[in-house]
Amino acid sequence: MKSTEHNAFLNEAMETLNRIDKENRHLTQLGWFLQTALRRFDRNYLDRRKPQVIVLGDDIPAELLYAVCDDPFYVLGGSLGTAHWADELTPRDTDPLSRSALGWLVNPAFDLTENALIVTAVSSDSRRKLISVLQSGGRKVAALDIPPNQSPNAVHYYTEQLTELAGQIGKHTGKRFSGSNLKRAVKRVANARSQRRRFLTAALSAGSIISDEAVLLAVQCMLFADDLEEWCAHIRALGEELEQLGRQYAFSQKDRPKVMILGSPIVFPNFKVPQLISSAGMDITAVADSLSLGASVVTPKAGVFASADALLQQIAQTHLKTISSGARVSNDGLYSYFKYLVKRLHPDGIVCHILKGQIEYDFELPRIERAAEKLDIPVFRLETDYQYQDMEQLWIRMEAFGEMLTQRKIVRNKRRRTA
Amino acid sequence: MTDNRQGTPEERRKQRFFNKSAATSVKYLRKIDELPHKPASLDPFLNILKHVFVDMQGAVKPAGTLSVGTYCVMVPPELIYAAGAMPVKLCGGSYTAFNIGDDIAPRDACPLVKAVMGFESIGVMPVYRECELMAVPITCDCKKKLAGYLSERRKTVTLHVPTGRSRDGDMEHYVKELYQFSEELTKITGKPLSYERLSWACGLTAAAQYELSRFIELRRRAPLVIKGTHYLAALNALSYTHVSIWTQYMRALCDETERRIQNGEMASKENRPRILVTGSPIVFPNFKLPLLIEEMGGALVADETCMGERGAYDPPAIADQTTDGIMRALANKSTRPCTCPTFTDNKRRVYRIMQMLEDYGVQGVIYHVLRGCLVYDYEYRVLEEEMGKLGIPIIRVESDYNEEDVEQLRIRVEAFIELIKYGRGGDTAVRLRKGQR
Repeated sequence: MKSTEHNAFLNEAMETLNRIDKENRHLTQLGWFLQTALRRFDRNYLDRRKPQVIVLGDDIPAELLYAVCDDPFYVLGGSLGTAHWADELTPRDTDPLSRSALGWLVNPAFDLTENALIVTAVSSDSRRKLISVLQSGGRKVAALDIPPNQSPNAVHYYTEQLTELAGQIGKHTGKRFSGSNLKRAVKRVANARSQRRRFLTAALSAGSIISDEAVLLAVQCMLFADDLEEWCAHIRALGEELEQLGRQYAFSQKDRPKVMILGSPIVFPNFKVPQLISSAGMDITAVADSLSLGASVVTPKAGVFASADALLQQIAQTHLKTISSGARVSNDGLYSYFKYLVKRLHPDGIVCHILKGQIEYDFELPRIERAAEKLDIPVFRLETDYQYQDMEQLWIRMEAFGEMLTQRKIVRNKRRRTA
Repeated sequence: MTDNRQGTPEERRKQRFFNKSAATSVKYLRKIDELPHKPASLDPFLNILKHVFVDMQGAVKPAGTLSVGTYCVMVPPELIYAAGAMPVKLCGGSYTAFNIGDDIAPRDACPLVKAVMGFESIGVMPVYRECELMAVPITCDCKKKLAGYLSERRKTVTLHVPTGRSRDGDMEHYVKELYQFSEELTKITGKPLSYERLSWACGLTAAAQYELSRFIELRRRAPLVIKGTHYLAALNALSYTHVSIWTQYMRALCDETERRIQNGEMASKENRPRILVTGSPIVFPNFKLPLLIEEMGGALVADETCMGERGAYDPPAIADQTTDGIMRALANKSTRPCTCPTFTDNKRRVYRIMQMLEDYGVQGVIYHVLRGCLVYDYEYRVLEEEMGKLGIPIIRVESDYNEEDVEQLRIRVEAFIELIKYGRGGDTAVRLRKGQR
């Protein structure tokens, strides 16, 4: 590989990190997150890391993963550089997220897959064919087939597969799948998710003290960190810093329109959409994508005497009910989460982010639009890929959307005052 | 000014749909009909297509038989016949319906699904309207979302097709899905699942499969005895016909083909490049690709698509003569030998195609990709590599449900046929036919 290629791969991450760093210099606790994210693009780290288990995507229940593996290595996509590496292996219409995820695993620069078991869920057409590409390339893959509905047969099949998958991973890592391991994992994951929720609440009240991109990065580092407990400690510290700064200083709270992002996942380093939203004068109040929904799932409480099977059954049911992915005939998980967030946060507008090729989100758009129309919330469909050439065009559209939301806000406030 | 137009705007819209859709179907039926060396016994098949797409009538079936719409070959027809209904394969190929569906489905959805959504939305085609139940196997993202769309409007059953085939659990799961489907069928027909009914239905489809395998064998012996377009039309007609009626027509076609082989009457000259079509399904009236191949001097000798041979060539292997035994055999038959790219490991598709190259003396492969059909597109690379090793030329042809690209496709197909004629392909085909890899 030419060094320029690796530079392009690293530069994209550096650019996003520099921007976040510049906007949030006053946050000392953010440094760890910037370092963690940057490490993912450091060739030495990637050569050294040699993960035992690579998790492709975010559809596998985290409780199960941590029960049989101490440090799963998540590959989510997000990088234009890795997407380029997979160009020749994928058809033209493949979505950039899948392309990028494949590029992380098959590339001329580093090999993460050596001796690793790749674990993934068959949640879309791309994913099912990526498995075949990886297997034909000699990689070891364990797949989880997600049923498209919630019938008892589907729950049974899903649970059965989870058990088998846990066994497969356990055999690879040497960590046996047992009730006690699963209970410990449930506790670890529940703690991490609770820290995440606490931090998001703190970030929401902190307003302009922390930028939206920084919030996204800090939260996403949960999947990038090598040690979950370390992430928990740092996110707690960052949350406390935000609260402290909020108490100490009077940061100006601008009355900017609040938008919610929904649809295709936004993965570091491609923070194009949050960047556009911020530069068009709006704030992100929430993100409703598969990543955030997955992390917001409330883990079932493990009873002292609960067996591994009973607990797994509970996990399967919860995940199958709440999972937000194109794998479902009707993506009720995402829809309910969207409705919950709207009710709780009252966004002024919704940005429906669709990565080119992820048609499952496009299919779901009319349902979201109908629900938003009833609530009188404008929806803006933003289709893009990982290229940066369309930034200017998107910015113009986004700015127009922002202006429209501002106008609506002014009119609404005026009406309220008159009344 | 007075409005002299008759009917409401909606009625006029529906009438326009009828007219446009029928006009396209008439055009393609005429083209199929005008292809030289058409066997006389093909007429009943063309009449079925005319009955459904031009005369706008329902499926061809005995009076009083209920219709069940299916959207994939993975729904075993035996189960539906056993319940006293008949399956109607509703995957759409209509350009007119596609245009309507284009406004409903996302831009990048595949045209087949857009056509189905268009048909469903306009709600005038009797063959769609008369279906009491829709069965949608989940084989790709578009079918998945199509199931959601249909379930908001019609009684719909989804069948989860496992993406793997190696585990016993996968097969077990599909058997359970079939049992659930059977329960839904019983609800609409009132006829419970029984061993007698199931084995009767298996006999019914086995007769059709026997005739089809006879035909395939004849064609294997003499690949040029019938035009590929004619063969595809006959197989497309199966989607809208009761299997007992189709079997009679197929028997007549086999008899005529046999006579032709004995008399040495071939539909194409020996020196015509022999082409195999694989990839996305070719659904009537979207017959532009097979027609182009044969108009440009190629001989379409074989197809590996789910609207063609793949849909009907495997009878269930019943080892256990019980209801459950038959159900398992049906689940096995529908998934295990299937070469659909829905499965993560689909090497058998490559093996199947390689077998077909040998059986039919194929000199070139045309890989048909409907725009947005990602799963087929992924598999092109693998096939291209394998064909490269064998020295068989292959091209990827991407197309949509409209006629705007016909001329571009014509140029590409013509160039491909010339490449085979004057270049490589011929020697490899001869070697393969002689069994020398």
